[in-house]
Amino acid sequence: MRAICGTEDASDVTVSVLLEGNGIVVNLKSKNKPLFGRLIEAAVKESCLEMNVENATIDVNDFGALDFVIKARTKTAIREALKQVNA
Amino acid sequence: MKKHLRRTMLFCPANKPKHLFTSMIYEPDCIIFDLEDAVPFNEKGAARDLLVEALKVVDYGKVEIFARINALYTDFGADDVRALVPAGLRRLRLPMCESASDVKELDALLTEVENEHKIEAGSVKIQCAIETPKGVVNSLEIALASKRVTSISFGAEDFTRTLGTDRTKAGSELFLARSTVALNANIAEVDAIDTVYADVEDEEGFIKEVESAKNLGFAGKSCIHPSQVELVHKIYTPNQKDIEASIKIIEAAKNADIGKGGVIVVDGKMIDIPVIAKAERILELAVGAGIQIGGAGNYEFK
Repeated sequence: MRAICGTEDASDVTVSVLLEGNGIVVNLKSKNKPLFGRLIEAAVKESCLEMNVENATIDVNDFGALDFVIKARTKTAIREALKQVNA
Repeated sequence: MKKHLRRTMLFCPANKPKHLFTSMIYEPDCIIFDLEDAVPFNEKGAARDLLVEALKVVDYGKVEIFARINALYTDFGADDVRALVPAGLRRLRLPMCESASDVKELDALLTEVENEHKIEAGSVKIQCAIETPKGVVNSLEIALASKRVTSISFGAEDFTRTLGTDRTKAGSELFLARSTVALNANIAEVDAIDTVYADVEDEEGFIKEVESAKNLGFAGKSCIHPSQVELVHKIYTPNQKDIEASIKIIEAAKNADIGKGGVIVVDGKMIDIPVIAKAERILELAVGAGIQIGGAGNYEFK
């Protein structure tokens, strides 16, 4: 089951987490992908590392979110996904 | 040491990312990121995560940052504290305080979290929100319940709801409660912060309420819209005439050495310790408001 967090408002991002797969796979949609794609992906992966998640498929739809927002949304989605797994 | 001014406390919902990095541009003295009433139940965790990550990286400059946490009797209050304090937050607003035990419960939790994360003991401060008739009656014991308490705030919306009455423009239903909170804050030597004014369009009504708050002894006002910040600062900022008179009083008092008692005359008026204290407060507000007073940036305030 996927867990989703965030909104499509400006300066926000939606992050959808599925705790399956091999390693961390990030599928990113963002107008800023050519400029900031690598940084957005790094923020998502850093959050996974902080939460000890090694395998996940993560869809990220960015609407101009800052780094800290991406991290927060990713952590919330991971937390919700873990709840579903442990339920 | 300069006392921190708390003329304005701007509420911002913590579940809106944009507010977390733009609200300081309105230059309030304090921002209260709200995890309580402004955040729906299903967004409590997400809002907390946003605020935690913002606290780690956003530079709020001189603005004093608070979070209004959820009450400790809810499923969210303790988690708010355990997440926000390690992330760097040092000011919490505790909603619905009704007795000293509410404050002591938070005090104990903070002591535990400070120990666990090797944070200086007692460095996290509390603002107690007084929002019910019981809270108003107990506001002195609430303000004195912990050394962490630096301010108590009055919340009129929940107060009138609990009392079973309506909030009116005249505000007579709030007079006793507001006066009691301001008096008890003064006795406990903490700041009193007045309630929000919900009608953002009614500038005239807002100004009247801020003026009355200042006259009752409130140190500041809770604001729910950025447009209210400047209006409050204007009312709480002393005018040039008052500043000049205050400088004269303080200089004369210094020269006459009446710090421990006695009376002098300045411009035909009797000046004693309470008048000097008022003059100091005026200069404190002026300096806090960024007014340059010839060399008075160095005034020592209590």
